[in-house]
Amino acid sequence: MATLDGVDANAVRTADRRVLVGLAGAVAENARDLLADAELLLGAGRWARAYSLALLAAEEWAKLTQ
Amino acid sequence: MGETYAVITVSFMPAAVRARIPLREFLEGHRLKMMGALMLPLLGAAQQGVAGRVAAMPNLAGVISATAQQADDTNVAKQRGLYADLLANGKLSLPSEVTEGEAAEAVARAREVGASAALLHDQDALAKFADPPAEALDLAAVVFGRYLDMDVADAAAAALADMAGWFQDGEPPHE
Repeated sequence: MATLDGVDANAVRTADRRVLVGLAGAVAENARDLLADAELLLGAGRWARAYSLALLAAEEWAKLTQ
Repeated sequence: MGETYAVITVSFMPAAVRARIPLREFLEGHRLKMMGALMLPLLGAAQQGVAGRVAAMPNLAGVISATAQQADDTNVAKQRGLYADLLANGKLSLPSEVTEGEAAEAVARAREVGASAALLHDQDALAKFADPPAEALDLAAVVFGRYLDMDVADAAAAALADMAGWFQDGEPPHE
């Protein structure tokens, strides 16, 4: 999965729940940053990238729930 | 992996080999993500009122199917604003074709998703996720296990219905 490329599947399987929750918090913050960037690009008339970053932000939030 | 390199690699493969490349795996991963996105607000970190939230969702199987389709669509759509591509229908897809309206709508939708994920920006809620009750863990095992085994929206909906019954009547979900 594109947004999980940096996450080792075996590490996820064996990680302590608290570590995974910490990951979730970090991912949530990243999603918020992606949305902020999308909003900036939208305001600057960079519609194509704003569009994709907005979708990536939504997907990043969704990633939290795996 | 760079998309260009992948395309070049594929171009060197015999047709029979190309036909067997598991291109669906990526999309199926996204489907699971979106399933999780649906489950999380329902579970609500094992807070009270789960049964009510499930009961308030009409046509749950339909919702799950729509969510899976949305995951497939999103995977294609997010690349639209980044890459020039050749689509399956033979037409070119260009980032410059994205309109202001489409961008604004995508941003608005992302804001909604972010708002629905507010629980995960809540430190108290995260603490509950880190130390959930055993019942919540059992429930998650049943819901996701059934979906992974059967990959059918009806099965996931049935599991959620079991979940609601469990919370309401104390009946354990079926394996």
